[in-house]
Amino acid sequence: MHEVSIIEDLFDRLDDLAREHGADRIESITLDVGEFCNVVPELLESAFVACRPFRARVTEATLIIRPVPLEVACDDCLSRYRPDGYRFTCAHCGSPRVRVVQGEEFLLRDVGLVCDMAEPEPAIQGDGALR
Amino acid sequence: MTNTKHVQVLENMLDANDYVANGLRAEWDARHILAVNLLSSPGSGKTTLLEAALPWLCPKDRILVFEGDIETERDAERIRSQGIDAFQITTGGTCHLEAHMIEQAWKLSDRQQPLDFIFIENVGNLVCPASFDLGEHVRVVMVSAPEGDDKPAKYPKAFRTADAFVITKSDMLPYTSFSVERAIREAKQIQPNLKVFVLSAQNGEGVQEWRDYLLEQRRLRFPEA
Repeated sequence: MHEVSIIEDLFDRLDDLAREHGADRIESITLDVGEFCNVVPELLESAFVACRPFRARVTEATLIIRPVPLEVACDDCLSRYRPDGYRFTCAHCGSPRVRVVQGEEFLLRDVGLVCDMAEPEPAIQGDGALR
Repeated sequence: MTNTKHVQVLENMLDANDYVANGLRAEWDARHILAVNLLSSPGSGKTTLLEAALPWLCPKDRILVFEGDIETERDAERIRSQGIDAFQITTGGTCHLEAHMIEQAWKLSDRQQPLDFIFIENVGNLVCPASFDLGEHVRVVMVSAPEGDDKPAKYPKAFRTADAFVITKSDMLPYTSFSVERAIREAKQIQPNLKVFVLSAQNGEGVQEWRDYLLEQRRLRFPEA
């Protein structure tokens, strides 16, 4: 689902975060990608690699994708399991009262930010004199 | 020398869309306007159903339709020819509507007019529209008889996120292999709470039941209206 436009939006958000934290660049980005969120991790990675060179703060960043498998819970028999396919009637008791516990999320989990600090001036100059 | 720090963000990547969608829904709640989002493949009969159902739903001046297409104003023109206000959103390439598009269109419309219903006819597509909340109260997914009864299984997210499943072009059932029973069974495995309608905009079969459902949804949502 529009992995390139998602990556572009992500880069905009990363710019905001870098400014908020006084950072110069992004070292790492961790995304949780649910099995049922309609985003394809491989395409997201390809889009990231393709777009990364064009945004100064992320040219050296690493994208870490955490796939989140679909898991559901039944409110009647209280079983919690990974469904076979996208079936949301309980595989154990047949109840329709099944809710998704995980696997729908598409989350920016965390970001590694880097501040490039200037080298401090030496206290002793090359001629040995203290300043 | 560098200084690295890790910041835990935990933000939904679709937060920006949801923020706008929730704002729209809150405004429509306050005005007692029921918003309906229609999803289907191209050619399932979304516009035709609106043409058949809307004129007898309530006074025409209490309905506003947002039409979503890549190009042309044809669908909005069809609705307007029924005497119902319609606003065309041409995306120029985006295959789905997003909340900010609806917000823009809503701001350009006469927002002071009293309305009972807003209908949003999404871009024809059973994939991407499923992921975007447009501020609607009711999401309707549609499949027509000629398309085949396997669409629920093939497009689970569209069905999982829907409130109602409308099987259109029921007049063509005798000429296709579409099994209503199979389509409903598989759709309900994905979303057990789906309300199902089988109708034909051509001959009117089942259309009144769908109108009644929309009126009931509005009554349930806004009992004081």
